[in-house]
Amino acid sequence: MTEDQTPGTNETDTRPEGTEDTLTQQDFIKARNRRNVMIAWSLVAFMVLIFSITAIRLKQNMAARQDAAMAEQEAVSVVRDETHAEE
Amino acid sequence: METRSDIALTGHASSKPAEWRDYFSLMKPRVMTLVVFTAFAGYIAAPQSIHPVMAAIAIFALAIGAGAAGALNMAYDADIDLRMRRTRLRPVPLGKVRQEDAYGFGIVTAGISIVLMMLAANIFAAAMLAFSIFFYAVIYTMILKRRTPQNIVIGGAAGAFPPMIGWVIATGTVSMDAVILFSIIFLWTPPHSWALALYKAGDYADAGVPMMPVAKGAKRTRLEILIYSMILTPFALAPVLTGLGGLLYGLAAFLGGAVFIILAWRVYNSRAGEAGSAEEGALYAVRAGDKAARDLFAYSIGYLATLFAALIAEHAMGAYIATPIGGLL
Repeated sequence: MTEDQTPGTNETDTRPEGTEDTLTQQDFIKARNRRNVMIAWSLVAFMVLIFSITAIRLKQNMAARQDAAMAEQEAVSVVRDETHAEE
Repeated sequence: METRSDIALTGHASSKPAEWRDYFSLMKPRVMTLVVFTAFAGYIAAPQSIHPVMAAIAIFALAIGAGAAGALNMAYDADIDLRMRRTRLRPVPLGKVRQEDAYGFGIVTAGISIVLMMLAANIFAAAMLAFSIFFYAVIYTMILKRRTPQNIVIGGAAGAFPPMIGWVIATGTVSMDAVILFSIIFLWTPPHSWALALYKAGDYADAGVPMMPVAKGAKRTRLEILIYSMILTPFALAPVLTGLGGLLYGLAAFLGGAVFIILAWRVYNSRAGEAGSAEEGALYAVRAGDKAARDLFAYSIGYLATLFAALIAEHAMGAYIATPIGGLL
């Protein structure tokens, strides 16, 4: 144990030597870990957003393609009916 | 005098390491809230719509983009933020987030927001978002803010983009109604910002920011506030003429505008911003002479919120009642 005077104060530092640095470092590591967890969550959220956009776009494109195919089929059947009628 | 690089180097080394909350506060959450609100109004007032999930993601992207611009602003302005009471507790001047980290954070989030906007909405909305971030971070923050008393007049365009981007998210194009929504916020910004600058002039002078009261004096600022208010309040009725706004919006714009002009007139006749300082005492302490400016500043926020809330109520909640003059424009 040290009995050093903390600069600028009247308090006596009674903590074991190096404790102050260790605490600061621990705080730093804890804060960094919390930031890393938040970055990880942000990445997960970003992936979910991209996945959602892809799924919705895919669904919309499939629906559009189906509509186009149906419209084409209808057009073909109309032409066929008209041709039959002419014959 | 401390330079920007001094702050980057010394960081006013706060003993506490940066938390994720510090990065979040870099994004100016209150500004993000206003951005989301006005963008939603622009989206909902548009004649078309997109998939609701896509719209939500696009507006979220817009909020992230606004936050990115805020982070870049705080990174660049760390030196002047340190000298102003209103801003000295921001994460960069406080030394919680290093200046280069704030730049990095701003650039990465800006990139993410633009990509998200392009995927969820359309490339035009993404391009407008990119331009608005550039306009705020570079044109306003780096070029105009420290050079001209017209800084917030021109720079106000950056804050006026969100309702227009909301409109573009829905339609993919810009129409006259979108330009009107943009113009309302553009014209609203000078009286709003100068009202604050009048009773914070000492703060801006200490920081060397040439806001209108610092560069041209309080009297000229009070006159310009009145002129801009006289232009803004009739212009805010334009959506009624195009049919974008109905009876509710018209009433809000008319009555709200009348009160706006009364308060601007009171500022004009007051001694707001005259010699002396309100910087002593509490952070938002106001001298008796500055009360009119403080009232206008507070009211202007409510005025803009009411206009856009009326639009949302009319277009999203079925409160739209057509007026006889709707569609004249």
